[in-house]
Amino acid sequence: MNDRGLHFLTILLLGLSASLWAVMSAKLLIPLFWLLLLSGFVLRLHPAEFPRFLRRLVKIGVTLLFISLLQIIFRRQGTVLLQLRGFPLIFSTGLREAVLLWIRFLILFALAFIMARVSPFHFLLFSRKAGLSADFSLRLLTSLRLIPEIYQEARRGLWFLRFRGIRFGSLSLLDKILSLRQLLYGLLMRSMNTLFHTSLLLELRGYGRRGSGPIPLPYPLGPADYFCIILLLLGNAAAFRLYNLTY
Amino acid sequence: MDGFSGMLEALAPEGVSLLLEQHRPGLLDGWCEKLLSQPLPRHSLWSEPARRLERIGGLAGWVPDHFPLFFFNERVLEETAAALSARRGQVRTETADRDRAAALLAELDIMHLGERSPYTLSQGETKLVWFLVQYAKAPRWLLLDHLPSGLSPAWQEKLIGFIRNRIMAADTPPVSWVLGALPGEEWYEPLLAAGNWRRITWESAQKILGDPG
Repeated sequence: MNDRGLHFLTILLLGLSASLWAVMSAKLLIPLFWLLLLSGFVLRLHPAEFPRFLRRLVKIGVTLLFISLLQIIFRRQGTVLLQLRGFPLIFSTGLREAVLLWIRFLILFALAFIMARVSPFHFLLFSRKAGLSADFSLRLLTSLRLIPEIYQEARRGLWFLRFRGIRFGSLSLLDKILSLRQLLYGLLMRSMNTLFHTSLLLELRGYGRRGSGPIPLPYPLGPADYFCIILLLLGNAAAFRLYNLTY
Repeated sequence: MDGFSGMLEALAPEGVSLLLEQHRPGLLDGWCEKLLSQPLPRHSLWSEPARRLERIGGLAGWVPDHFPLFFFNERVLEETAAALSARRGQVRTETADRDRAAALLAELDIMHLGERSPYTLSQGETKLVWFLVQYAKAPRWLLLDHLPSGLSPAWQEKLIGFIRNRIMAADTPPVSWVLGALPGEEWYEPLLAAGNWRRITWESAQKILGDPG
């Protein structure tokens, strides 16, 4: 594998395959297979970041645990797996749906993790190869880059709001709403400034200039991409076979 | 009193202002940034460090030179008035706050900026407005890493004049000014003549401030 990692097309195909089978299959086996495949990708592509991946997962896991508990409690179909003094507590369908929820979420989470590590420049190269116009590609890229920026700005805004010295716990609901409105105003203005500077920097680098190819570099598939695409095809074929057998 | 205020209290007790002789600009800013802004990303914004920031925000004002500032109001006048109302623990401003804000803007000679958006100001104008916003909070300490940075000589003079007037007017509650200065500079001389100042090198101050690092 070269320094740039996998081609965006390979990652996109991986994402499409995994999410398609995760949604289509109501049985555990096929989504589990794709989850294992994705986990392998995360480990292979970003071994050093795997502990960070797990830490983030644990943070969101609490919310997910709550939702899956609701699934177990309220999905009262299928055979009874556990009962207390004759009262049925856990049903097979509820338990399966709860596990499926976890698997689907983990697939999404792993995909987001892999995609977030694609460099913006390679994403730009891909979008140009995919036939999108340079203007649209740059707009898309700028918008995508703005999302984490807005998050940082929101944290910064909350910091400044607190540094004013007001005790938020003692504010009335109306005052809290007013503070939120003020925060959103600051957020809007700072985001506009960021966008303005980003577009200015892009223009200064010559992107989007008429008559000139803004991205002259080639972006071919590498040997690792071919290997992964073959693996994906085999994975899809196996999943299709399993799907036909189980339904 | 928390660590941040405790350290400042040890350096600049009530009625005493502090002149920090730094060998380069940014040392005081770096200290503030590490102690105030960096701990937060590791914690929830509703946790104890966040509440601590509220307490410090009520006690200290900070005018950084290279720290992206965040304003919450459409106009400079309203932003300054909001800082005055924050002193009472309120978000909504009153007519008295706006009048007082207008008086402060006039005193610093930046009344012409009152109707401007804080996001359309130049670097120097932003520094002046932010200074006034921090001053309007009536903090116990007001920290400026390097007063002349980003300001023309004329604006430096106006700002020094403003601080001097405030010291002479014996503000209630009193503000302890914590100003950073570089070796060989003389801009602070009119201030030293006006109040009770303590001069200390950054190295000596560090023994109390510690290394937040």
